[in-house]
Amino acid sequence: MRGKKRAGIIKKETKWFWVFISPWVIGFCIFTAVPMLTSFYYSFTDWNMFQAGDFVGLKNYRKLFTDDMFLKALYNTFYYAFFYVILSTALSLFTAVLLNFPIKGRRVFRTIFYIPTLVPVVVSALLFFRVLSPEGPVNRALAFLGLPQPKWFLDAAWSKPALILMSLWGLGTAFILLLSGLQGVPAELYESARIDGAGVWAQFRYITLPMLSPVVFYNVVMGIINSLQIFTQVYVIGTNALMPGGSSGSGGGPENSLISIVQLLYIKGFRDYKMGYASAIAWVLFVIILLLTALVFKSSALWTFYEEERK
Amino acid sequence: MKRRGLAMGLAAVMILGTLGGCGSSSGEQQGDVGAAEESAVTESAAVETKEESSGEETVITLSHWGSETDEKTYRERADLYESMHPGVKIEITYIPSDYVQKMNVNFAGGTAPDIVVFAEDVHSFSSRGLLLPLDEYVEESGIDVAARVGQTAKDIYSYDGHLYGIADRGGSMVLFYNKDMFDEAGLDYPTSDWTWDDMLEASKALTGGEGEDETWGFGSETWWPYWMTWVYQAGGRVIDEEGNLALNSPESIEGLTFLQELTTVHDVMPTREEYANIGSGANAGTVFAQGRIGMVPNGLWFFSNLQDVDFNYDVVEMFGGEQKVTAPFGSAMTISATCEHPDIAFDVINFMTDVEAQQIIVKNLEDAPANLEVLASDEFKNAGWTSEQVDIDVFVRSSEMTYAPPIGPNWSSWDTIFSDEMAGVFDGTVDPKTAIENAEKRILEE
Repeated sequence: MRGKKRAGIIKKETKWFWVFISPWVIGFCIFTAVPMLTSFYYSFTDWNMFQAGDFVGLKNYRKLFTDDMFLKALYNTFYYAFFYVILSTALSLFTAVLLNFPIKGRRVFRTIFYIPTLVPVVVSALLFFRVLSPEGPVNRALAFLGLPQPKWFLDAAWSKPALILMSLWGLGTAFILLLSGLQGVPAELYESARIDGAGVWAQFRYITLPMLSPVVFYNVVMGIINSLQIFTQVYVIGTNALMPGGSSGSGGGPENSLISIVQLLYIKGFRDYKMGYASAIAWVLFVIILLLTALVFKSSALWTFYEEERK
Repeated sequence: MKRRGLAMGLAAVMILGTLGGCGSSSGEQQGDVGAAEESAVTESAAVETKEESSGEETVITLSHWGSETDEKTYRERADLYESMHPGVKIEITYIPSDYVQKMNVNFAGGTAPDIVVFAEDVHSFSSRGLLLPLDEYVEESGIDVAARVGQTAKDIYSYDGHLYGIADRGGSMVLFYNKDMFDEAGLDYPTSDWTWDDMLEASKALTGGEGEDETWGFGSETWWPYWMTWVYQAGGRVIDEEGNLALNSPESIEGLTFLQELTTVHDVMPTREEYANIGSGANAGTVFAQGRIGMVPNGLWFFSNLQDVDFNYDVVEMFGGEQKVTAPFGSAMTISATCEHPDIAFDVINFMTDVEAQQIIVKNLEDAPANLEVLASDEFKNAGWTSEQVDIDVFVRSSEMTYAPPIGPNWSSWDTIFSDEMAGVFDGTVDPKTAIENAEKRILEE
């Protein structure tokens, strides 16, 4: 009798579960799963958006790895992601710890560090193009200090560092997460460490860092996923700022030194109408991100610490 | 049972509520959206009653890009057609940016407009069977397209032996020059028989100064007419009669070398770096308007950028090399293959490209009309394009010296590749021969 009633409740709850979850399940299927599977199919065709494409087997994928432009995009994107993830993790951690000290005006500083994330990417890209122009404020400051003045976005050798510099300006989100993580570290841990005679560095190394590692982990994963998909900044700099009154080409800046995987995908798919090829690019990028994220997840057991695990 | 149904219904309402909440999370706009919806409702109600009263009404849709002047002018021309053809209503969609991408989506989604305005991208669409060949409609109506808009304009909008669009807006590249700078340097103004060397000599004399006062003799953008014109003027070409790539020739290299040396050897033209130092949006046009560039090639629309300048200027035909040719500008009206009323749509574009409707283009100072009769009319000359005393006839004469650019089904990807490779020519980092070879290699690999 009782068991039956319980089963009834579970059954009822299950039903309600599906009712309430259905908008998201349906949304996922229609707007994510179906397009993904469709693009997987199209990556084996030469579909041009209109005339039904022919099945071409692995041709798109084979062509990808002999396409200089794709290899360039791959290199640029990895270069950007590698330096951006490392530098942004280190810098956001550094500023978060610094602004967790009870110094005067730290609320103001915290606000200052967060504000850039509120600026639309398009605006900050145009702004930085100006700030980093060959005779712009940054180079004038460098000249004042007697340092060499690179041409930044106008020079194939300096355009990627300029892009990384620009992105680092907006690390406020990672910074805020770390800051709230820091406030969650119990004060008694530091207290007992101090009694044991631990210095500032030891406290950071053995308390702050392990306690923050889940947040750092989250930031690293999101950093990898987002930076491998970099598009807006490249698009704005490459197509609008760099080509005074002209057609922008592939929109990858000088010698296409900025072109990213997603930028190339956009050009191939929506400007050259090679949807099959663009789909293949999307899938290669998807697999790369999947593998890298899996790797980070696997390795996380070695360097992240969750309180609940060790009682 | 009944109560259960009620509960389910309530749940559904709640779910919809959440969805609605997500959708309009922009908050402040909510009121506006509501109001807009309301007025849309009343409007559509009004349309319905109107339809009922006037019997059958055919709706023709039209899409175009451009500025607000363009929007206003297309509307006025459509109004004129509507006033003469009761029963036909022309609905216009103005798409300010990313026009071609949006047209792609519309065509792919089966919501292509009946009449589509296209420029260089026309054959990306015609070659994929998305546009209606106009040949039989032209024949039926008995209009002579070549006489109306010129043979070059007819050829440009033809593909594979079929005509896909009637040129609507025209014009061509002419040379704008700053009279004050020429006076100051004690130079004679450019004339229609100028050669490359005349232009170079004058440019050298107009270049000088430092910092904010630095001036240059010549300015160029990087858009295709700005390098392709040098190729055609030197006697080169981009494709041959069979449509094969033919850019790699001594003539093309000569033309592009002359262009490149304007910065690398003579230093009479601003580089990309110099533009970047002037400002984010700086280009040949804006720096010319500042009075710091002596000569720039541009189109008729450029007058609107020169309304507030504090110097005197004039226009003249482009200088010439081996060939005295210039780049054509413009757009055409095409009909989508899925159009349900092709007869009426053709009647509309026939009307739009005929004298009466084309005069509105001139009256509104929108652009150069493609219709040659209107272009040659006194109305065009005296329309008041600028308060300066300029020789508007230059535009009429220039339209007779245009070359046909290689507009084909792959225009978009060619343009991408050319722009990539020609950037090095403009910057002075890649020699023209290498740039041409790289471009041709990439095009053949596509």
